[in-house]
This record gives sequence, C-alpha cells and structure tokens, in this order.
Amino acid sequence: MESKKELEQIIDRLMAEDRLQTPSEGFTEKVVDKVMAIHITKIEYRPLLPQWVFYGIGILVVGFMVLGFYLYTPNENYLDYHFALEKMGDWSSQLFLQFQFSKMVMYVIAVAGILTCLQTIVLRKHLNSRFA
Amino acid sequence: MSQLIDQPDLKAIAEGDAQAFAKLVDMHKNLVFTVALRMVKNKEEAEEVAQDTFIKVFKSLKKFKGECKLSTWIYRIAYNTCLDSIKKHKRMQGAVPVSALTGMELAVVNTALTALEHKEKSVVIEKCMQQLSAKDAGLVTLFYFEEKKLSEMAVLLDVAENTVKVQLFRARARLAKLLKEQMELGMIENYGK
Repeated sequence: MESKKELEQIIDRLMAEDRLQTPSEGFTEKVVDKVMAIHITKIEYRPLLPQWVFYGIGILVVGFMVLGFYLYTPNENYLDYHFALEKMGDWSSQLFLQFQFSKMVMYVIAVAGILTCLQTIVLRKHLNSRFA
Repeated sequence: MSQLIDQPDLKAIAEGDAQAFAKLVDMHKNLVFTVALRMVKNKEEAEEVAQDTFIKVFKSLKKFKGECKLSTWIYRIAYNTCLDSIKKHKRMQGAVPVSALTGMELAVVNTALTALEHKEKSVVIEKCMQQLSAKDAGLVTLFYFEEKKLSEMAVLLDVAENTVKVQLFRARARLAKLLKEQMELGMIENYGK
C-alpha cells in the first residue's frame, strides 16, 4: 500500500514536468481545408428529397398507371386524331369544345400536377432554410 | 464564465463555419497530437491520426448530445482512432511486464528524479513513452493532461471506473520500471564521461 502511494507520487512528480507536443506548422489550416472540402461536397451531392420520397413517388406513378390501364376503354373516349388534324385549320369550329382527353391522359396530368405542387413546397422550404 | 465564452460554437461548426472549427482545432490539437504521437510512436502517422480525429469530430458533431464534456468526447475519438491505426498497421507493441518496484528501488528512482533538471526530465519522459505500450501511453497522457478524474477517464475509455483504476496502476508501474531503466542508463552514460 505504502509503495503504491510512493509509486503514484513519483509518477505524479515526473508527469508534472511533462509538456505537450505541437503538430507541424499549418496543421489547423490543413484540417480546416479538408473538413470544408467534405462539407462542400456534402452540400453539392445532398439530394433534395430523401430517397424514400422518390420510392413513394415511383410507387404512386406506377399505381396510377396500373389504375389507368385497367380503367382505360379505347372505344369510349379515344380521340380521333385524324379527324382533329383535318379540323386544325378551322379555329372557329367547335373542335376544342369537342376535344376530349382519354382517362389515361387525365391521370398522367393529375400525377404531374401533384408532383409539381409537392416539389414546389419542398423546394421553397429547402431554399428558405438554405438562404435564411 | 470566460471558459464558456471561449467554447467554440458547435452549431456554427456543424453548419460549416471554418473559423469556429479552426478555434476548436486550436484548442485541442496539441493534446490530440501528443496522445497520437505517444500511441503510434511516429510523427508523420501521428499527424495523420490527429487530422483524421478532427475530421471524425466534424462528421459526427451532430451526434454529440453533451452527455460528457466536449474535450472528453474529442479525446475518446482520438484514442480510438489511434487504436484503429495501430490495428490497421498491425503493430501493437507488447506491454512491459508488470513487476512492481520494491520500496528501495522506488526510493532510488525518487532521489534520481529530484536530481534531474527540467529538460532532462522531458527527455526521460519521451524515452519512456516510446517504450510504453500504446494503451498505457495514451492512458497516462490523457490522465495527466486532461481529466485527472477516474470517472471522466472511465467515460473517455468507455470502461468501468475500477478498470481505469487498475489500468492506471499498471501503467504507472510499467512507467516506473522504464524510468528506473532510463535512470540506470543515464548513470552509466555519465559514468562513461
């Protein structure tokens, strides 16, 4: 017990004289440069939306397409393009009143609209926080 | 109070403030480098390890929740980075066997230590640290420079307080043995002159 205390005292005395070593000149600058390079890369390559959002959107799009495919009936709402092209020159005609979209086109427009709204909200939030 | 003012702004660092990060590096680089040097025993590698430590600190700063002192957290990263580097290079140094010095031997070492000048003590410390195992050198350096509290050291090393106590005793015993050898070598050299 006595020698344990003596040992502790000797090492305490020895280490009281110990001095810290210093790294090479410009160490801080080197580290900061490396870290800032990492930080900038992180900003550049960070996706705007997390990956799960993209998966969600993908599933939604596929879902709408499948739904559209099953609901699609070619004879009911199919646009007669040849007929439409013939009448293109006659703007006063009732072409656009008669113009009807197929259900498939309607679904695609709806999905595109939802995606645009979603992107706009997320993008605004992101840019606001970035440049605040 | 002044200590609080001097603390680097962690939020600013996480957002990429270079100046705030430079302040943090300046505050801790010497101890991080000293620990690295004494553990890996090579200046170039110690610099690399010290740099890696600060890069890791930056990358995981958001994970730091303040459950311990910032310095303790940084030195824990430094200590573990050193161990990783040693493991990577597969050159874990064998520990000096623990054989406690007798009371008489301790008295001799104590007297010889008193006779040493400040500069000579620094040289002796460096020589002993070169021969001490990485874990012991890291432990002793961190204990004497930073924490001096077993509870904080336990957090730093992620072990129980009693384990730190035992490890510290063994490291001191090994250091004393190396110190005695250094003293004897010094005496022989002086006698030769």
